Amino acid sequence: MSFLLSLFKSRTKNADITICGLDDAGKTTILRFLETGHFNETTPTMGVNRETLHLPGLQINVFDLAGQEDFRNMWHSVNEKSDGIVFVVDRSNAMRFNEAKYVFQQTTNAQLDDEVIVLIILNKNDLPDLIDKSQFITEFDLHNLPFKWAIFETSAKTGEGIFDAFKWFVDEFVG
Amino acid sequence: MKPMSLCLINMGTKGLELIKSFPDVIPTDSMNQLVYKTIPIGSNPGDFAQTTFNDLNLTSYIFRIPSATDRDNLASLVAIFSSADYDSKTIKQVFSWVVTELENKSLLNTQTLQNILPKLFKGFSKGQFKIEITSTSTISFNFKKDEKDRNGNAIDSLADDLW
Repeated sequence: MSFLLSLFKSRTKNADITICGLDDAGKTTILRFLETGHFNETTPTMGVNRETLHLPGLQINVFDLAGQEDFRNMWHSVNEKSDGIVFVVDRSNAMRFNEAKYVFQQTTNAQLDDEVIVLIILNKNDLPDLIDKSQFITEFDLHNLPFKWAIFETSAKTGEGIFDAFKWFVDEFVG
Repeated sequence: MKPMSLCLINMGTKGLELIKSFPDVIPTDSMNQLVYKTIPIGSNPGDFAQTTFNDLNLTSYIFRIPSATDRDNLASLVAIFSSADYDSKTIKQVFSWVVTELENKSLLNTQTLQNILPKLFKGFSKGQFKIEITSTSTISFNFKKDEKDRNGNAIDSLADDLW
């Protein structure tokens, strides 16, 4: 039995990922949706939430980071050890578009290892007045991003797009 | 059991921020560092925190403030003492009771908490308080009576265990 367990363990990959983005973008709501399969009310994250997701062949250690300005100086130490990052943007909030762009560029320019996988999530698809996806790709200069990346449109309230986004992410780790 | 000050802290757009302290006796520099001690990293609504900062001792209760329009916020009620010689159990009990009572009356918001902070402070000195929130809502707490109840319950529990 212990042999089987050790065999299973040896075939289970481990991945550390961080979820970052501005405050109130929906980071924790997405994480809760992944854990429970439905929408849960959340409160602002106090620094970091750490959760482990167990998938067949893959254990993901998730570091869900607080997005308020005061907490962003702690992102660096977590992001530089990560195998992948999920950057969440509230696509209904055009007022904070430039702030999100600045924080995204700070993160991808200085905090990530070369091999990191980047998942960008345009969240809050259930709300009106959404930022256009192609405009987002251009403004955030994603075509010149030196990482393997993908962008998905989601709603952590309805669940739209969440599983597709993370299926891509997980497939990249499992290979 | 008279605290130096009671504080209300919540999560603002940049991070944790002081909403109100009564009386306002803690220097601003100390308060700016102290706010991050009241809601430790990784804490959640329902948690208590107890720590020291310089010569100050503090106990805080972390809770959720509901919102009808935005997402609920994270906040803490904090009692600051000049020495470690205070009954933290009573502080925890009073804070969680006040928050629960206000929540049950749909009056749990930062404005109400700011309004009652001075009366709560005086209540800690007197050992009891009766606070009129609105013309129809009042909350009251008697520290001594509650302590007696708690002791009574403890004796009952002991009797159950012995039996």
